[in-house]
Amino acid sequence: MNDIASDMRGEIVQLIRQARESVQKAMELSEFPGLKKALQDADMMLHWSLWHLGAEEALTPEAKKETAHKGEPLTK
Amino acid sequence: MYAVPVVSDDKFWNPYWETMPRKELEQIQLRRIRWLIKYAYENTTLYRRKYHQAGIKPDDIKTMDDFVKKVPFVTKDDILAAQTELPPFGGALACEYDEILHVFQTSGTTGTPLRIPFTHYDTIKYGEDWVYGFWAVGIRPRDSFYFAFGWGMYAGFWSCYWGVRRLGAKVISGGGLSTEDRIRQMQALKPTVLVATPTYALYLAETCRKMGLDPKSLGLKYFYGAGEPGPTALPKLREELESAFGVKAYELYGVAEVGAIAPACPTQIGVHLNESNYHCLVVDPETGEVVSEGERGENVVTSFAQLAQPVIKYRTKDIVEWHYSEPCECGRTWVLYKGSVLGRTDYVVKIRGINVYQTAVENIVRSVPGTSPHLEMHIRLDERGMDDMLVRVEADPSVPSESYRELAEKIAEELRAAIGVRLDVEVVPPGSLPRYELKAKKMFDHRPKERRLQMGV
Repeated sequence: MNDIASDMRGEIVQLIRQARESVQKAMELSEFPGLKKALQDADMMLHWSLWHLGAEEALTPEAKKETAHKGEPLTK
Repeated sequence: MYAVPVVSDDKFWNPYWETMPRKELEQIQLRRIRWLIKYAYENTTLYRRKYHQAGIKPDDIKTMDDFVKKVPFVTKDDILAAQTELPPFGGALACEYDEILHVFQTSGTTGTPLRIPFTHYDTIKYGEDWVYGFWAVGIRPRDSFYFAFGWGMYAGFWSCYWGVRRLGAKVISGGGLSTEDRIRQMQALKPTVLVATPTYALYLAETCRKMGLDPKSLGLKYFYGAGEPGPTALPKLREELESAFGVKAYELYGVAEVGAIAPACPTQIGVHLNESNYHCLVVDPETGEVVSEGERGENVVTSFAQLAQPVIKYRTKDIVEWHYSEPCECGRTWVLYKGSVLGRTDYVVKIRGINVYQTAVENIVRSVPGTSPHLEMHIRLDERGMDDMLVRVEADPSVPSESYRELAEKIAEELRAAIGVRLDVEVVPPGSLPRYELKAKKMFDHRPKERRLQMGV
């Protein structure tokens, strides 16, 4: 591991993941668009922070993306 | 209140990524590639069809070898066809229409524009590509950027703007101004970084002199360009930019529909693929086989940063020379494209068995005393129907017109000695070739369409 010691990096990743959970909870409770969008942006930047540490495998912050499917079905 | 971000003065923007051992890097990239293939397969008709035709499903791609051998290439024409089938984005789009934050377009080979959508997150990643280069060359949040750029539908320096915001530095817009007004604005606001195409930067210097100003008096510290072969690809151009403005000159290699893929290397010998956001293969343009390290071929890029319109094994048509097994002198382990982009597969000319690259020609012409930075290369057929090239170059104002023939001979001889073939050279008076604000058009292919090399298809 370069620059950041491995255990320190693990701690940072853990803290960011906790922050995402808090932000996502706040997003669910938020009732007006200005606040919701600010929290969405915060979540995106937290995901980006995990990316900076190489810790995130999903390439988008929105979990729904991993299972979403659209477009015409394939015919064999 | 957040003012200029408090940051350390280390030489890397992100040392974790930039110096990651290659084995570790490749493991992370493989996981991302597998995720991306599944995402594109599940969310776009383009990739689902393509992979169906190739007889593969996302779960078949388990190793990097699977990725290299089984996954088909994607071309600009593939994306254009998907967009044409169901405008505006058709089966190339992977996100919901409402998730698109910004749309660009670029010219297609048939004249139909290619539309390039980005989500908000895509724009963050795209912008960040630039920051790796800024940081590496010494640009910091205290710097201020002057954008000599018109902010149109072309991607151009929009992504650079996103990068400057991410860095936390100042943005000064030169949009909608004449060249003279831009110079006056720079005199007043004293930016430290000039963002422009290299050709336009030279035009700015030329205009400064016409206004009776020394370009150095603008007080710039850096030139950071993109959009056409720049100070890394063309050392003579670098000398011209650095001596005109008194700056250090760098470039970024970007592909509008993919990203700002390769920020500057501080050594100025090349640019580095940002491997936190992209993966690349360099292939023989005709066979599609991966070429060895140190060889030249077509750059094939996969983006982890473009999720609105995914690009997986995308044929860029850019000719590069790649190096990766040893860390660069700058400390990065990322792929180095030595000399940045060396040419385009569309414009490779084979003259008497020798591949002639446009950057090689440009480098040699610029090195001959008495030439100006303005030139055009015309590809045509000779009287035997063989590929040939005419180089038209503007003389420096100090050269008398009666010496043009002699200068042309000198350039032709330098070209013959360096690349082994004789090209026709015509020297024209100063100011006779057009000036451009964005990419300068330097290559003109006059061959019949069927005679152009079908590379990268």
